[in-house]
Amino acid sequence: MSGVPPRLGLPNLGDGVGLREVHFRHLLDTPPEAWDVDWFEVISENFFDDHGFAAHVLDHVAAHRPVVMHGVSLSIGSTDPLDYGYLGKLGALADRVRPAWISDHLCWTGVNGVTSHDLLPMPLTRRSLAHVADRVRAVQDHLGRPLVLENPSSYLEFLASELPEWAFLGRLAQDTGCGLLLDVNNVFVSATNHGFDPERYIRELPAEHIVQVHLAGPSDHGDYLLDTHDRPVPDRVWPLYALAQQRTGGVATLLEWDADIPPFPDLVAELAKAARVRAGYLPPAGEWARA
Amino acid sequence: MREPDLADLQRWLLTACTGGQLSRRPSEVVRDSGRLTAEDRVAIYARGYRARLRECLKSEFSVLHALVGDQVFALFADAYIAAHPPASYSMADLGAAFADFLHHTRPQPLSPPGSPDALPTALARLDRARSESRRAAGVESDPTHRPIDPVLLMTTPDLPLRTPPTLRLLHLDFALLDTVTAADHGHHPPVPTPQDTHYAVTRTNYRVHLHALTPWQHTFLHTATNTTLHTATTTTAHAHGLPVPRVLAGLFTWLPWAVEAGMVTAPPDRRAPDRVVPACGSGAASSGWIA
Repeated sequence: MSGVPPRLGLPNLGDGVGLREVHFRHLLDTPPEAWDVDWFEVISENFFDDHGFAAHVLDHVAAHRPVVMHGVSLSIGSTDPLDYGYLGKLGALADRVRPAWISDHLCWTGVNGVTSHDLLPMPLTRRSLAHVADRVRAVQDHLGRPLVLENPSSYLEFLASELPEWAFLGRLAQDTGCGLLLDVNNVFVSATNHGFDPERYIRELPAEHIVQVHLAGPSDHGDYLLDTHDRPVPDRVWPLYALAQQRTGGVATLLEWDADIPPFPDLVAELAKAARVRAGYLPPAGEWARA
Repeated sequence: MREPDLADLQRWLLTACTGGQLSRRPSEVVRDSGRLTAEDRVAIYARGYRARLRECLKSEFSVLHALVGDQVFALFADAYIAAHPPASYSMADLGAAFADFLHHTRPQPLSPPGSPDALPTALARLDRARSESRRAAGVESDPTHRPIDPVLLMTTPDLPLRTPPTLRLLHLDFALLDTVTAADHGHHPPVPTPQDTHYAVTRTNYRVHLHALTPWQHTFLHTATNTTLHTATTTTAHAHGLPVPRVLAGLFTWLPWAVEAGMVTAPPDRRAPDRVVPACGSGAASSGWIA
């Protein structure tokens, strides 16, 4: 026994969706009891220094549902110094919306002061593991709470890499006490692109550190999958979701949809498939959505 | 094999993303996937970098994009991104220097105001102003922002004035209202005609509006930042060679509307309750306007 409580002791928030601008009007015009989602995830940086309509909607949503802050620019793996200006904004937003937790990605976004606004892959070496672990500890000390890190989709592997990503993430979680956001769509994408076994990836992670699962739909570019979040969850991802839920004993589920975003009721209908899978149903290939 | 330095690897991949000169071939750094070569895999990130930043600019500079179309906009965007690679964690900062970039890259010597090559700069300034107004702190959350009684203008020369952070003032060489309206409705916008124009970008009820101003109104709003009605009025009158009573007469009808439109706030801190709606005729002679 590791002595770590399931989900690091964080709550299972149920089934949620990402808060996106196209749904702002629906959320204001619909009574919260009719939203049909348990919680919302917000992209943290979209709300830094925003005092407009988006902030107004966020305050409304946060007054009625739990919110999780999900960042894309922490750049935890970068060799640039940690940006304490960024962390200050993150902390200020957390003070305002009181998130259930704060997450970002195992990645780096830039170096030498230039940012790509992309989730760039880490070389998976012992030295980079030590580097990231030091920075995770510093961020956790600054925020006064565990950081939750997501496995990104990736399209390349460095020749220098020594560890599989699941081992890198697992050791990082155990060394620093950080949480894991297991994106089962990203596991599917990276497994397809790099040729590893996605089930093994999920089985090898320390389950008690997993506090959340992401679902999304990637696009098929023939020789590789791209993490586009622009379509339903592929049928081949649902068994991975079921495995993740089984291994963790139940964690918060979040459906991401960032391009060609459907109306809110359609989004909720896609999310509802997660409950069916948790109840034991797995769609035969092609029934719900192909990759 | 000696483990490459993490910072070197990160600089290398970011250089690949941004289209710079690589110190090593991709095959020396990145593993082939079987289906994709190292070059192919790196190219996925390079394409993603350009596409993401282009999309961000396209969304912010929507009127310019609607007028010039995808191809020309992509040329502008790619040149700008190459000259100003993103340095901020916030996508909202990406377009901050776009209008200035378009201005500085115009053919030299500069053509006269209103020349076609000046149009992209004018549209970009307008688009950026609207974007900044959308995110700024507005009158919606300012309890001191209230309608103003026109009579107060005649009786209270020391009425304090301030402009909200959502106000942006523009002095341009084109008539843009029809172009903006068409672009906002998803129609192909008409090419604006050259004209010396003054505009206010404002926000009320979280909606951003564009208003045409007369030159004296433009000057008045420029001056009305943390000053008094008297100072703003006399400064405006002097700047335009107008008699103070004439500007005051114009303000009598225009300023209450400007307050409603979110251009200016007259905070009540120095308005005693008994002065908010003064008796008719109590006015100008005793208030110092004639002096």
